[in-house]
Amino acid sequence: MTSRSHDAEVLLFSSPHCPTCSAMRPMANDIAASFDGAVHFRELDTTADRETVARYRVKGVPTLVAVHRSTEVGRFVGARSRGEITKIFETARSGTRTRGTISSTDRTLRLAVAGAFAVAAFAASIPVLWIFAIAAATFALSDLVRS
Amino acid sequence: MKGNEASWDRIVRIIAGVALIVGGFAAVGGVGAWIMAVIGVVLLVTALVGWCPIYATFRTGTKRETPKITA
Repeated sequence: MTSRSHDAEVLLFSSPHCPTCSAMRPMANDIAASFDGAVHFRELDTTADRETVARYRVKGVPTLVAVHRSTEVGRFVGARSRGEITKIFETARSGTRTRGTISSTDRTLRLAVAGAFAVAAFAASIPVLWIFAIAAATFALSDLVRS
Repeated sequence: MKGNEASWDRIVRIIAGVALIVGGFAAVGGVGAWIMAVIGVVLLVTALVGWCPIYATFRTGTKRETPKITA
């Protein structure tokens, strides 16, 4: 699905009127440089390159796709942090497929809910809420355990 | 299941959920406290998953959608 000359490639699908894409572009370029050529980075304008958009079934921007030996191994849709962009580059390099990776914001909020259940369980003396707290913490960290 | 709650919405739900559970037992008591606790738990669960069934019913939400690619 990608150029034969690149074993590992990260594609950033963007559009000219997408402020999030503009914010992610310099970060992705920086990270690509830090990989010292091990991962090829390419930005694609979704308004111009309709064929590639259709091939990768891109539905919105920004979308980051990790490709390893012509096979998609990871995908992030929407705004992502530097750490998460780095992770998708590592995914492209290693070829290890990412499964259901959640964003750092989502993880933080899920952990906050786990904490809230724990506070409520302690303050209101409702033991069953500890089960909710553990379930919420598991939900927040489950993708780390699986990967 | 695609989320329909913005981060600020989820934070408000977390604060309100804890306040309802703790406040109910601290200040109200009895059946009222349990009703408040159930509402609080529902708020916390919707904050956890980032999806609100009421928003979904009315096809609305607070989360800003990722811009769609238009032809």
